[in-house]
Amino acid sequence: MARPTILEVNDLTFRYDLRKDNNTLSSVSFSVQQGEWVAIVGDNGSGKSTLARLIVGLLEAEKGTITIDNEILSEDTKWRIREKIGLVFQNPENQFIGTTVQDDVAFGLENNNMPYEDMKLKIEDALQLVGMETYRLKDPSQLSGGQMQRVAIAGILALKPDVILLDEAFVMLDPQSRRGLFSTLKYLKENENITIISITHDRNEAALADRILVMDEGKLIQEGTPKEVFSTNNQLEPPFAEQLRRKLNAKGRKVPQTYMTEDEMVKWLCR
Amino acid sequence: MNKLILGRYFPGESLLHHLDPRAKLVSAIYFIALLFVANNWQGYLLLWAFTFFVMRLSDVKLKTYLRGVRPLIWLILFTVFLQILFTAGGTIYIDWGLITISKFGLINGAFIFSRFVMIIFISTVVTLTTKPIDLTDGINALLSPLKTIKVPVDEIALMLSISLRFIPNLLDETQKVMDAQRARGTTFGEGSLAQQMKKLTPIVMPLFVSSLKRAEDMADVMEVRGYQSGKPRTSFRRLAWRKKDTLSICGMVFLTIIVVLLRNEGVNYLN
Repeated sequence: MARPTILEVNDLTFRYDLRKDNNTLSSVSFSVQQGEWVAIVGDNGSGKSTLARLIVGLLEAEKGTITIDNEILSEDTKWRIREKIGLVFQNPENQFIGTTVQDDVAFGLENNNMPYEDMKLKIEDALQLVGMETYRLKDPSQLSGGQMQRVAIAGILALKPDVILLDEAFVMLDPQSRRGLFSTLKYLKENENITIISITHDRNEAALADRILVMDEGKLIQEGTPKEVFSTNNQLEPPFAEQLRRKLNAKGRKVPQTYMTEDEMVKWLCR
Repeated sequence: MNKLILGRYFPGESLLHHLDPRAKLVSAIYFIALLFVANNWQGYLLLWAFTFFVMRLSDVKLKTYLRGVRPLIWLILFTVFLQILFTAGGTIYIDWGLITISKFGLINGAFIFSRFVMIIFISTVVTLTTKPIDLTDGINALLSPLKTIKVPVDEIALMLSISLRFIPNLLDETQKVMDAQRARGTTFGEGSLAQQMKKLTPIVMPLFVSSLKRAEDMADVMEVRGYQSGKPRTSFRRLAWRKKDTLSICGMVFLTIIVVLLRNEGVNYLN
């Protein structure tokens, strides 16, 4: 399956303090295909969030290039590139710019100078995707953190970007709405060919990805499918199903000796 | 915080709540100008009647309006007393050399008092019946002619709306910081004035820090969603001018005609 490359990061190096030698990111290179779901995992301070900021052009790299949809990110191209890539941040409260839910979703569309009638439709669609359509007129003080985060995601979805970048965007959500949004993202990926890059601490979220990139101290140390990464990397805490498999294995039960996804585990348990 | 009435919004369904903010703003400013046109008791009586009529229309209790005047009452009384004591003319009731209380003084004092209180009442009517965000849009619309002389009206309106959006957050945060300080043994509202002021430092500093952090996050979010100042953008919030708005402006014109007809020729307090 040869899909076109949507994002290519090449030899990316960055440091916050130019007087010091320690790089926040050192020579990071990877590429992401269109319609792929990639998870970036790593400990705090491994440079994940910095990477996200570099990709949308909020920070400028010291060395290396970022190419999105065959266009190299630079001061001149960043506004065009931001129409193709949307970033959802971690803190829901500070992402809420409008005074009501629909105003907030409208903000990005207003910036694109979209006519009123089109905006109305797009807002409706985006709010339906995240299940917030009944909250349209509520203001942020009436919403929970999770609901605000869903609105933030709707704000990005309304812009219909090619790539959605999620910087620990699900931290504030309860497990149920988290699962709901995962299936929404999966739907978008499969039906609209949207590329998803999620930066996360949550192993269960990472397990949903097609590919995982593991970062440590500003370097990309491992790359592979969830199966490869979780079965070979002992530093990472594996997702729930795999934990269960290992525990059962340790107890002497006859479980398969290889990594198992949640679906496989369910099937094995119910066989 | 609950004591301050001026500048607060009371949700409701009255006719005034449904008027266009532009109509309300223009009418209020116009009314204030009209207060300076009236120059006899008949004129003021009419304006008082109008003020009470409008206050009734707003469906907000009279008590609420009186609470709005309360913080300013000393300033009003002080000004009125100065007027009474230092305006000469007409029959003199009390004469203590420099200080005299004359008929002109009393009448003038009554007029000044009326103007003050009516200005407060009318502006309170506007803020109580208009959502802050609608008020912002109204101001934006009324100031938009200034765009021709390069005043950044849209930016100012956006700034205003974002500030309004964060007031509840800042109040929450103040409460949180105060609670945190209380948990560490600080007691507020005790000791001399200097001591109390000193205790505010550990509240104000964290608030400043978090506000700056918030502003930074916010700027990132706005940039990622494609906001560029000076670039044309559409607006999802719309003001709709209806028949009742035109009618209310007609009402103001009618009021003007009567006030002008009631006016005495020349400056003559002794009618």
